[in-house]
Amino acid sequence: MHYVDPHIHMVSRITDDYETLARMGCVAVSEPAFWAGFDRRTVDGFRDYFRQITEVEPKRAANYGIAHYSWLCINAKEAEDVKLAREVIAAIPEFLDAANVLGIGEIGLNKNTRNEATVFMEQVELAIRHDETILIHTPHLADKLRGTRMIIDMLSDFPSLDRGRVVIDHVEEHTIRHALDAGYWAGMTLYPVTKCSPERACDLVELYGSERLLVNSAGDWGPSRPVAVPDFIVAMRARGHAEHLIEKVVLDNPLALFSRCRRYVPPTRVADRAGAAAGNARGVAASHRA
Amino acid sequence: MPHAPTQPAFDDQRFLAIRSLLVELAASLDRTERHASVGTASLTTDPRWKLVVAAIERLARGQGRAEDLQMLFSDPYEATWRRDGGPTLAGSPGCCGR
Ligand SMILES: [Zn+2]
Repeated sequence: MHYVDPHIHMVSRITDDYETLARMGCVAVSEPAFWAGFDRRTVDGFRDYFRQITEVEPKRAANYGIAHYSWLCINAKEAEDVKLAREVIAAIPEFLDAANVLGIGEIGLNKNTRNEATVFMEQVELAIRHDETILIHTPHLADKLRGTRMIIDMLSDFPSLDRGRVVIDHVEEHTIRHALDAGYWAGMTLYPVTKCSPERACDLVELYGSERLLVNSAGDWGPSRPVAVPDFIVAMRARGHAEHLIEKVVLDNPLALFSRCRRYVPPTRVADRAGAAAGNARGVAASHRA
Repeated sequence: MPHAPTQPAFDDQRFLAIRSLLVELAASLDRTERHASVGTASLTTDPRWKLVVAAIERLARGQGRAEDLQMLFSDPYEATWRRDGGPTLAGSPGCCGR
C-alpha cells in the first residue's frame, strides 16, 4: 500500500532508512523543523538547517522516489531564548518560497512556559500573515493535556484562522477529542514508550473515525521506528479493517492536508489520488472554518 | 463506534497478548518492590509509585481505561493560566528531542 509519513525527521535518519521507507510503499514524507539534539547558537545555524530541509533532504529522498516536504519554524525547546527566536522568525520568510515548504511547524509548547507561549503566538501570526498552513507539536507525558489545552486557548485568539489548515500533533486518548472537536487535524505519533502505539492508534480510529486523522512515526534521532506507519497498516489489517479505510488515513488524509498549502505539488507517483484528496480537503476545511 | 473491526473480539491471539502484558506488569511491580526493599528508597512515599498504584486500581473500572489512566498521569489544566502568567513545570522527555 502507498502511504505518506507526515511527520518524520529525516535529517537524523541514515540513507538506508529512505530505502526502507521506499520498499514499504512510502511515496512522501514531511519534515517539520525541530530541535536537533543541541541548542543552536545563532540565527545562521537555523538558516543552514532550513537549507538542509529545503534543499538537501528533498534530493536525498528523490533518490528513492520519495517526495520530501518540510515545515519551517523555531521549535518550542529553543523558543525559551525569545531574542534568538525572534531573529529566527524574521529569517523564516527567506525560505517560504522553497518548493517543498508546506507551512510553519512544528511550533508549540514543550514545558508550557510563558516564553514558549509568546513565541508560539508570534509564529501563528507569522503563518497567518503569509497564509501558511500550521503544524503544532504538543508536549509529552504529564505536560500533554495542559499544553494541548493551552495551545487551543491561544488559537482561539484567531477566529478567522482556517482550522482545516492546522494540525495538532502527538494526540493521545486524552487529547484527541480537544483537537478534533475544535475542527483541527489530529496527528497520532507512533513512538516507543512515550507516545501512541500502533494498536492504540487503531483504537482511536475505531472510536473517533478517520476524518482529519493522521498517523506518523516522528522518526528522529531518539529511539524511534521510521517504519511505524506500516506497523499501523499491518495492525489495522489484522483487525479486518477495509483497505480503503486504512488508505484514507495513511495516504488520502495527509495529501488532503498538504493540498491546503498554496505551493503544494502532489507526489508524482500518486498525483491522481492527490487531486481527489484536494477537493475533499477543501470540503472538510470549509465545514470547520471558525 | 465509527469503524468497527471485523475480526473476532476475543481470540487466542488477543488473550495471549493481554496475558503477556499482565505478567510483564506483575513482574515489573514485584521487581520494583524487591529492589526498593534492598535500598533506602521508600516506595510508599514516592508520588510516582502512588500513581502506579492508583492506575492499577483504575484498571478494574471498565470502559474508558486508557483515557482514564492518561488523565491520572496528567498535570491539571487551569483555564485561568493566561491571567496567572502560566504554569512553571519541570517538563518531560519524549520525541522530537524533548
Ligand atoms: Zn517532531
